[in-house]
Amino acid sequence: MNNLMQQWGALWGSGMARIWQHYTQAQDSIREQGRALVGQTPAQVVYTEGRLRLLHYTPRTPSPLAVPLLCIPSLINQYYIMDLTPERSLVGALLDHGIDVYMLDWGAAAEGDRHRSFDEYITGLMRRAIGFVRQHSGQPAIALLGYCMGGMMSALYTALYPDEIASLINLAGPINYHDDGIYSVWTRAEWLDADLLVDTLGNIPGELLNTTFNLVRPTGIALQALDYWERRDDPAFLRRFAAMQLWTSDTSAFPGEAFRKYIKDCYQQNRLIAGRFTIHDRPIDLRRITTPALTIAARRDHIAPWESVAVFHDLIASPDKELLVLESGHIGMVVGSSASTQLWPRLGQWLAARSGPPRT
Amino acid sequence: MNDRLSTDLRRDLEAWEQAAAAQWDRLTRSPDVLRRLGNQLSASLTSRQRIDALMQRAFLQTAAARPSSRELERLEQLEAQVARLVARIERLEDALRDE
Repeated sequence: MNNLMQQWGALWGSGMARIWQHYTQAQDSIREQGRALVGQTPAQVVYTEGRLRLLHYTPRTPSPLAVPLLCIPSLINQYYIMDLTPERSLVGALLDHGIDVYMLDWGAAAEGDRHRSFDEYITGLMRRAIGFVRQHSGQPAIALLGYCMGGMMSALYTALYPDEIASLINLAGPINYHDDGIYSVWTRAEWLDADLLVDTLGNIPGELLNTTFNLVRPTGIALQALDYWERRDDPAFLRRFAAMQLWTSDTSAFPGEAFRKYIKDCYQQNRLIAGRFTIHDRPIDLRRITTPALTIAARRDHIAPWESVAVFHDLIASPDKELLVLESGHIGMVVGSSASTQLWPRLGQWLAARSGPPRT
Repeated sequence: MNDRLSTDLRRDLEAWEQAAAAQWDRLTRSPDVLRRLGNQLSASLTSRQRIDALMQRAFLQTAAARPSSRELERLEQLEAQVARLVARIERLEDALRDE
């Protein structure tokens, strides 16, 4: 440790101090620039419920494919990671494939959401949003794409209401929670009292969650500062950088009761993979899912380790199922430099093949 | 900062970051460290619960000690009634004196 401190001192003296100062002074303006870049794909808000919004993107093809797609982000992360900038937009790529895309924006949880249960998010908010998309599109069943926690929630929904889902994409949604990932270690009941945390704080503040995320690899910020310094004259880099900086700091609070169940039933007791997870006392058996499904994992994912995502592919009974393991990380798989060649086209082709004919 | 310096700095910084991150990862996976941090977190959450409960009790006691708006209204009504009675007695006394 002493050796590392000495090395840091030497780096600081050989130019890092100036780079760090430049980076920290620019923080506010970087995020401000990011605000103007994210979520720019044209869309209409077609449904709201409290802070939840449902966006319907303007199709880019004259006749979009019949079966619409609804994207479900994590409860705590902003939806616009899937529409980061006009150049780095998963939504844009799917629209180019002729997909009719809807997006669920959970909105920032407020004090009133503290007592909303995890089950209510699935059978209440999600069900009503999906019901709206089915009605709006005139399709009895829709495609679901869940990212991160949204992938796990989409899997639960498909198990509960299989007739409403034509196809399912689990994008980096963890299903097994007992792995060697850092969150699996940090959330063990031996040292994390989830009840005490929720009973004291209510909703878990976004700032606290952000601090936790940053603590996974706090030293990485030094490399970010150097990247910013070296490429400060590259407009394309600055756009991506600003949008990502905004997104990583824009975490919503985790609604208290939903957090309690997510941590205790998933991370601490790993009930989902064991078939002991329940929604309103109804057991969820993922092995009974027969919906066409695409599971996408990332080999360098430190949030949802790829084996813990890929197990979904092994569990389900769908005759039409595919597993894709990408050489990237949890966020890079969606918005990284390789996303436009690795993820977007393969996802677009898989979906397009299962989204029916173009609408007349 | 020239390019050469930046290249050297990047090489050294990347090496340092990898070593520091590996050490940090080992530290934050250590059951001893996590247990200690967990105990501290639980202790501070319990303290916060106690402080919140104390504040709430103090607030309720203060609120209970303070006359409610309804009681104030009743006091004002009584005061007005007493004033009316005083005026009436004075009028009666004047009338008796005149007789």
